[in-house]
Amino acid sequence: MEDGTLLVEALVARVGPDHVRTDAPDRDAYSRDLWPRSQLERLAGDPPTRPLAVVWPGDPAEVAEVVRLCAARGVPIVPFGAGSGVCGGARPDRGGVVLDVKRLKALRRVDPVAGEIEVEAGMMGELLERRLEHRGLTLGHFPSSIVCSTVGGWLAGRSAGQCSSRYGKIEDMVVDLEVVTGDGAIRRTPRADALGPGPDWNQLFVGSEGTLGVITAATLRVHPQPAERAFGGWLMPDYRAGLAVMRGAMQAGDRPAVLRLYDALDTFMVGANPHAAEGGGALSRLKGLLSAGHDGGPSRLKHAVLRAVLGSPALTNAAVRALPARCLLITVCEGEADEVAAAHARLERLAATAGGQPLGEGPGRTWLAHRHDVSFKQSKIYEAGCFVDTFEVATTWARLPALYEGVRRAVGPHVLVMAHFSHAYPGGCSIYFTFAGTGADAVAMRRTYDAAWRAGLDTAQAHGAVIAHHHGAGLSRRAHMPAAHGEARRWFDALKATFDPAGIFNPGKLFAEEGA
Amino acid sequence: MLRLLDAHRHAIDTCVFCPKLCRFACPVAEAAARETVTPWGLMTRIDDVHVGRAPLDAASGALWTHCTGCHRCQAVCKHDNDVPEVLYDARAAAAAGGHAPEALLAWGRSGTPPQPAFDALPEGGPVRLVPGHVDDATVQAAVRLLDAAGHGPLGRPIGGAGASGVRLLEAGLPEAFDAAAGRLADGLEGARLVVCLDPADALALRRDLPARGRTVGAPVQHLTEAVAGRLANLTPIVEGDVLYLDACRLGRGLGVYDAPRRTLEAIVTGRVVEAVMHHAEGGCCGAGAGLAATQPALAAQVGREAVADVPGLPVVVASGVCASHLRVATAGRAVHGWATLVARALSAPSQEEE
Amino acid sequence: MTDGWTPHHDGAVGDLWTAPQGAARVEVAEPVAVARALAWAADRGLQVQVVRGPRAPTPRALQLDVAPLSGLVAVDEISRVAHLRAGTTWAEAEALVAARGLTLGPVPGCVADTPIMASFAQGDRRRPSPAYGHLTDGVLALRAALPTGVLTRSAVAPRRATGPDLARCVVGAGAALGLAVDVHLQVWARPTTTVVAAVRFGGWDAAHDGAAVALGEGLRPAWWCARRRGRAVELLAGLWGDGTEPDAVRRFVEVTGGDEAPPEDAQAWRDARLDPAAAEAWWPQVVAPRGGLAAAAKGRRGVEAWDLRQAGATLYAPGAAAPPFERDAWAASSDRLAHALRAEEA
Ligand SMILES: Cc1cc2nc3c(=O)[nH]c(=O)nc-3n(C[C@H](O)[C@H](O)[C@H](O)COP(=O)(O)OP(=O)(O)OC[C@H]3O[C@@H](n4cnc5c(N)ncnc54)[C@H](O)[C@@H]3O)c2cc1C
Ligand code: SF4
Ligand code: SF4
Repeated sequence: MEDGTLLVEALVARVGPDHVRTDAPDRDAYSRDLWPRSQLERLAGDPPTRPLAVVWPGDPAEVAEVVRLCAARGVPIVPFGAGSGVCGGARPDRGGVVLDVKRLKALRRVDPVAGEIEVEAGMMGELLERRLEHRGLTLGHFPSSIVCSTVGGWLAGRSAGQCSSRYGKIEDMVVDLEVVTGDGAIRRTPRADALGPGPDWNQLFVGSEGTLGVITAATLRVHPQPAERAFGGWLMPDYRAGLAVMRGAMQAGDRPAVLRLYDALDTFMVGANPHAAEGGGALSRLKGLLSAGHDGGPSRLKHAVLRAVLGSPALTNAAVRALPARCLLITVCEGEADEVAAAHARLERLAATAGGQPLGEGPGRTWLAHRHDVSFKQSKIYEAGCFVDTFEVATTWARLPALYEGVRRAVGPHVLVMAHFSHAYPGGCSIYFTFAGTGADAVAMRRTYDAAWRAGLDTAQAHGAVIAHHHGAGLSRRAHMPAAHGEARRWFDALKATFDPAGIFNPGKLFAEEGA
Repeated sequence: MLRLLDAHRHAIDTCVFCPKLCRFACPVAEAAARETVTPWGLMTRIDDVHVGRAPLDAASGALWTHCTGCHRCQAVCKHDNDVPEVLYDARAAAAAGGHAPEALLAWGRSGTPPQPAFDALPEGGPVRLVPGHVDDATVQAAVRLLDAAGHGPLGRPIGGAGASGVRLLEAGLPEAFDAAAGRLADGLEGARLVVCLDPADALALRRDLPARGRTVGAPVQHLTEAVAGRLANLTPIVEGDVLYLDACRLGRGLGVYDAPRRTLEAIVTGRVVEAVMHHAEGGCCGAGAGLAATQPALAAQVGREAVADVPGLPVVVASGVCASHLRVATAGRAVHGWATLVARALSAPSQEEE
Repeated sequence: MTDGWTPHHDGAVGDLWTAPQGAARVEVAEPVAVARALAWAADRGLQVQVVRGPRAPTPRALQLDVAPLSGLVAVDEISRVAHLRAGTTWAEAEALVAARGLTLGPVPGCVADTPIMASFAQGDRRRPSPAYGHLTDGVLALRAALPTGVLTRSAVAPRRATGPDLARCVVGAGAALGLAVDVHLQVWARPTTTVVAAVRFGGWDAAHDGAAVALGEGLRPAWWCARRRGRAVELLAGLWGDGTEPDAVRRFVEVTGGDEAPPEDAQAWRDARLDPAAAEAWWPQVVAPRGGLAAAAKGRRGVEAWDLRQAGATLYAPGAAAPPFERDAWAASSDRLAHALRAEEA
């Protein structure tokens, strides 16, 4: 790899020997993100495609240097935040250079009066939010991955936080961006409130998943820490009744921070349904296995039971149908006292009208305190020889029930599936499906995994839904992207030709390359 | 030696399959900005080596130096995984295979610095001092503080060992640790109280030694615990605010958070300011588990980041080892060891010693 | 038909009119006709102007008369989403949804006769509503005609994460990257109460601060503006509600912290701005940062601050046409993008 050696030497000359690495542990660690399929591939023994080198530029000028060096040689660059993406977006499938953005992590400016900050893209989410909190501010962006993701990754993937119904998705918070494009220029997009002509550049770079350039910094809107919070919890007669409450609140113009509705199985699993004892035996076992604290160590027996339950998804999903239809709705209103009181009062009225049984503050407070716990269950499931993944789709309120039921039916033969509805808007909502399955070995698991994904996305698309609400497309949705965009793809190709003429930025992501 | 890792299989698996949920907490990964050295990355490499997917080689040995043993990851982890514990066994495997970096082994074997104040103490006695790797000024200050707190007269451990040998354990030389710590434990027999100046030693004697089947008969305390509430006549000697940084092995390790703060409050005219993250989440100076010896630049970066969010204020940390490291790392910022600062606030008669 | 046009028939675009100096005009009734017309104009290097009804010829420009491409395709009453053809004017669109008890939000008189398509092409910022957003916000789906002669498609959803929001290519880019042909827009229940609050402040920046406090407290007027009144600056706000907030005006005055002013004058202002018949075309002039509104307003007579945000505000002034905004550093990229879009076709 003669050219590779020369490139590495040139990179070292620009960013320093400590910030270019070609040794095996680094190339392994950067050969994947948290796309569960990569984990299954690893278990199956598939050798990953490793990058030629990993580079850590220290400022935008160094990013630009790296881009110029790679562009001149046609070597791919994969921008890398914290690698928490779950779609393979940061996987260096075409080799090349992984450009880790995390040394760019300055909080350049905090302007509480204007309600804006300027922050570099490599800042870890949790660290940003803690620093803002220290100054009485919040970004209001709380993805479950806030502990393991960066600002740049959020922007590149159109991330959504758990309080999105109040603060918006990350794309709603963007004032402007600093990006390094394929010509090695460091450019700042026009402010979202600027008056000049031209397309809406911010919204074209947001979501580009590393395919149009490297985001090095952004100006984002921030807010004062909320003065008040009101927690609500209801057991709704069924999920449609819960959706009616969420829709009513959003369409009235309120902006509760959290509106979260669990479907029957998810309600059963979070344990808030006092009537859930009626649930099936297999499900009770499953719940016991997953929720017996985190310290209940592993055992062969537990693992075998989990595999048995997940190994017969048709039966297990049938047991779900025997569960009571009741669904847990959790709400959190926050902000100034008057606004909070008014929004919470409306939720109470809406929930009462829809037949909700009030559960008080408990469920909301419990959720807030333990909202990250669920992520720890992932390890237990994999350790038992099973897999778990999630996918989120979105559509209008009117189409939501058909989408929900359609997807459940479609993936049900392959995996156990449950869902919650969150990220509500006046016009619609997203559904967050969690599915878990197993197989005789890693190869079989991968087959089942692929089948579940394909069935889920095909069905979502058939229902006219968008196939991703906040995880991005990366590799996992790539096959469905042409159908999702139709001729709009041409805009993407033109953007590529404009900002990445050498075709080096994250090639093969979002859309397969021509001829591939 | 790879078999040492068998016992950690569950911890390794949970980390390997974990979506890096402690990612933000690891000070080394944050300073290095490098996924390879996150708890997830370290454990994944351990897994690869353990199951034979990757070789046990110098690259692995070098990688596994990237930890300060701060246990911030464990504070976040709902599986309660003890990553450093696994890592020290991986280091042991690397050392046994001849793949451990020399700098790590040398650090593990390093003796305590010259401590005339410690050497001047008599051997034996009811209260014995274990100074560890702190400088002589800290030892002097500690002697005065313990005296003022009514713990005198102080003695050395019999045999004169001044440290627990915990660095050997952390460097991947467990047998050498057993021997060294065993010698110290012997030298502590008959004591009524053992006072350590380096929280790492206190933690080793309280936690690691018993875990390896040996105990110290007397209670083991860190200096801050031993003098807590027993210092009268402190005079304010610092104008304005100070930033207090929890030393990892004192805070997360021994659970000592408030005693040193209360004492500090008595000797500053302003406030004891908290870092953005503190107490159980507190930052790390970067010196621990050999990082300062194997990766000095990175260790300095860790230290700078620990105090960067509250610029300007003098820093106080209740570990002489952390204080020395931070002083170098932050070059120019005022950093005080808790012991020396508090000793200065003891009113006369011993003031002429300063 | 206005003077100067000659009727023609063209194989690609059907019936059209031409005039000297490369002026052309075509009526489009279907989305695909917009796509064909865009391609036709691009082939000939003509500018594209979105118009409604006959106009005098413009040299080297194709006038796209979108009047036939209007109407409400459907309303999803559950999701409150109106599917509108992009030739519809805002006033028509509002009337169509009003018939179903819904609203698009306030439609200032100066945009009333603008077709939706033109507002998107302009990146229209003449309806900066705290409650309802800009006219080009609240889009759940946008179908566009490309200058390559094809139509895009898009799922209808409130947000997405399937790459860049490609439809934003047509927002503010003229016709260079395509034109919206139909849009799914968020609509809302019509308010049952609409009142106007007027609050006086010592100056522009004090008024802006008052507005910022209101935003922080969660108040979202349907529209608002600050204007000079003698030595004072007055903040006017249209408070729309569903009857659950009887003290809306008092609360607004309290929260903003100014002095309540007589409302009669405010009502007259409201009528002038929101009535299509009475309104002049008001255009944004300059964006001022927070604290810099007074400086920006200095020496500009008759301006009003319409888009009051936490971070800044925009001054507006009446005029017949949009001010010629300076091409910024991104103009070359816009051109390259448009070129790339065409080049692909070739
Ligand atoms: C347990 C768990 C929970 C999650 N919960 C949520 C959630 O609640 N909401 C949510 O939105 N997502 C969630 N995710 C998904 C993921 O965390 C987000 O997609 C996140 O935005 C990725 O950030 P990252 O910094 O890790 O980016 P990476 O994974 O490193 O990269 C993601 C993509 O963005 C590109 N990229 C990264 N940085 C840049 C940059 N600076 N410039 C250009 N391109 C760049 C990469 O090339 C890649 O295509 C979750 C993931 C996990 C594992
Ligand atoms: S220590 Fe815990 S939180 Fe960190 S990677 Fe391992 S399992 Fe995850
Ligand atoms: S102990 Fe500290 S340095 Fe080591 S892996 Fe955990 S968080 Fe990182």
